[in-house]
Amino acid sequence: MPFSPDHIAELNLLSQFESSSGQAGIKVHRQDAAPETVQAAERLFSKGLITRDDGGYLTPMGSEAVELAQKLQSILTT
Amino acid sequence: MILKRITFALLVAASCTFAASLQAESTDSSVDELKQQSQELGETLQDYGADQKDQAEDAINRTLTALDKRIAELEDELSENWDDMSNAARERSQESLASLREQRERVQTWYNELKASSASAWERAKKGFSDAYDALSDQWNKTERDLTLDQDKKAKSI
Repeated sequence: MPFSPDHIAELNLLSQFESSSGQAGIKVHRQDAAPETVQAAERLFSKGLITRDDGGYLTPMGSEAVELAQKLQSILTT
Repeated sequence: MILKRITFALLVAASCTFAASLQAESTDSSVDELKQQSQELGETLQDYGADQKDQAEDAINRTLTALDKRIAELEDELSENWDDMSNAARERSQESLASLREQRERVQTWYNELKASSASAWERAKKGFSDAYDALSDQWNKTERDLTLDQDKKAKSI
């Protein structure tokens, strides 16, 4: 099953978090960010992966998702 | 007669000042104790293994309860000082307290994860909790500074 453009946008947004610990939060500025990024943030929030619909911090599930995404990226780039 | 009244008024004023000073010292001392308690929790968390889950939860509960009490006090202080604050100070204090509540909520999410974690997921949940707790601790110190700054300005203006 291929990744949809929505999934890619969500993965790209998750990769913006510095680490899976989510020590630092992020903010998606609705006026400046690309529409797909704004929508990706809203979807990640509704799925319970981040704490706010415009970024915030990783939730425990979001943290796990970032770890898995990092592993996948590492496998694909080696 | 007038002299007696003046003396009485001075004594009342002095005792009020003394009581206020005692109250401030007591609050400062309990905040310092909480800072110490909070720092110790951050340091000892790393040492808790999955088999010490109950002890870890007790230590976390104690500190979070004390911290919640302090956050409520800060909110009360802001309400009490509200009329004497500038708009900029009000905005800064409100933003600072909002960030503190957000970090507290985030810690709770990780705490729930920690409580529900199996032995194999313990280290990961502990790391997540610990990072969220450090961020809460930093924000709490910042909020204390922000609100104290406003109170100092108010005291100097009197």
